[in-house]
Amino acid sequence: MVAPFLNRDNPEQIRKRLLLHVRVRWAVLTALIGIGTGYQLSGGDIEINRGTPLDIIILIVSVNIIIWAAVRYIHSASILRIMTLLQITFDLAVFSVATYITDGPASPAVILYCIPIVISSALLDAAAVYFTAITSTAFYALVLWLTQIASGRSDWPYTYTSQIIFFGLVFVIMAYVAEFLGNLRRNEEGERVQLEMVSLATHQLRTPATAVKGFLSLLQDGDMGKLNADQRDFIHRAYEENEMELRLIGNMLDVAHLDLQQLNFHPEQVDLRAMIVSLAEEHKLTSTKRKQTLILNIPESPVIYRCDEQLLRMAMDNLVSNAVKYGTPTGNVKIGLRELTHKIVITIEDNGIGIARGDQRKLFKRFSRVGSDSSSQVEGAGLGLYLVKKIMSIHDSKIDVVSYPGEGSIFTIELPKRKP
Amino acid sequence: MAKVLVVEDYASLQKIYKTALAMQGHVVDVANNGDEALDYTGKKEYDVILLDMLMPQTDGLSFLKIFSVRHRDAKTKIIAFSNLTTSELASEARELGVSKYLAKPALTPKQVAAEIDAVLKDSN
Repeated sequence: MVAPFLNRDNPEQIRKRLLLHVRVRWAVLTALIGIGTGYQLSGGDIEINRGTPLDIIILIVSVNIIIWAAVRYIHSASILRIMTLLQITFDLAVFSVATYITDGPASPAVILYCIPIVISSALLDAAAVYFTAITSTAFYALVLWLTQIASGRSDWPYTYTSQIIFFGLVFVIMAYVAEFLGNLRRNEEGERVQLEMVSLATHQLRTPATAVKGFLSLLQDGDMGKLNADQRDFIHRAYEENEMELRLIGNMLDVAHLDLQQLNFHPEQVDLRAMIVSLAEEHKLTSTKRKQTLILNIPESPVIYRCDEQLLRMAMDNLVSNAVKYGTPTGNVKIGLRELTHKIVITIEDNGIGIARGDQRKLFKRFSRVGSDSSSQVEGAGLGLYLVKKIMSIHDSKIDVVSYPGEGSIFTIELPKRKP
Repeated sequence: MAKVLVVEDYASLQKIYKTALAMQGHVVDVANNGDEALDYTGKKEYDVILLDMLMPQTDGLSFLKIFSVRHRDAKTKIIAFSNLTTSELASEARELGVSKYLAKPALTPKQVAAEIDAVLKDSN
């Protein structure tokens, strides 16, 4: 998914947006060829005064290939931002040539080409669009004027004036679009402040809950005196409830951080094998307590993947923690990692309580809690898998679950390999 | 038995960690914030400092910056613990000489005491 509004510091988002434009251009080209062919076949005659439709086709194809090739190899946000500016300039060049060749702004070629140009304006601030509009319109007028001089004509055809006015108007619309999107971006800033407030408030809740955990833990261990069976049981229950509250606070904090972090996605080269080994090490204590066997089916050599390490680790941690929590005591928890030609597949498998088919659909929704025949009480706030799904969508990745009540669940993550 | 300074602003947590560490036989002092901790470390050398990172006035990072300059040769081991466990904060703390960075909500007081023992064992 391409984010609706661009974060111009996020190279992955800029790259995706540039590639979206490449696809839009291909679609426009196909539409132009389709309309042109249909028009010709129906007996119409396309009026081309200064060239052939092939000129436009060659231009669009060249622009697209240049941008597509550049985007594949560029990772720097600042250069990608320059590419967005170059892209709009390329679009303007094609737009100018199309107008010039067809000798009119009202031709299908020109009108259809406006679509990607207007979409491009979403990439830029209004000021940049105005600047590009003024310079490009002036440049276009200069080209027309020089063409007139070269052809030895001193008059100024009416169509030229109308072309320049039309050209300018298109840019005014683009600037409005850019300004509108700029306002939305400012709203995004408001949302960020709100999220930071949530993060702070949740953080404040953690401290007293941690203190309660400490007091109960000391009581539970008998450090403050011997307890009778009922007292021990009550304190144990209070401790477990508090643990659940701490997990809930932790998940809420993660969601708030994640929403903030989505705006600051930091991809880097990560060894997924090492990440899984370290996660397994972290969960070993809990799984051993439950007499479960943690089995790793991973390659012997590192599996390098470009992702946000902190986010992916958070997702994996949630899945492994669920597998240990809901897996049958004395059962197996298996973590698998496979590198295929076009993707990397991670599986987390348990042979625990499983999830009913009807519940599987709502599993990844915010605050969804699922029941199970074999578990009368499922703890948590229903944020863990929502987080996992969100992290996967940030990485353009898929997560699926196959589960049968009473038999266990297999969660599968598919990370697409990006071209270098 | 080790000399431990607990730097923590939350009164209940001060009591918990002081109790748990004293039960393990450690001698424990408690500072309410980074400034107080700097006063304590100016007067006495500690084996371990258990340092909360988020505190009013002088917080954990500020304390570490000043402590690392004032007590460059000290053998004191510092364990940071916080409710905030972002990797940025943890790595910054490690760069300033922290031996371990613990997530406060994840550990019981006894587990914190065990971490202190492990750090002391490593240093011997």
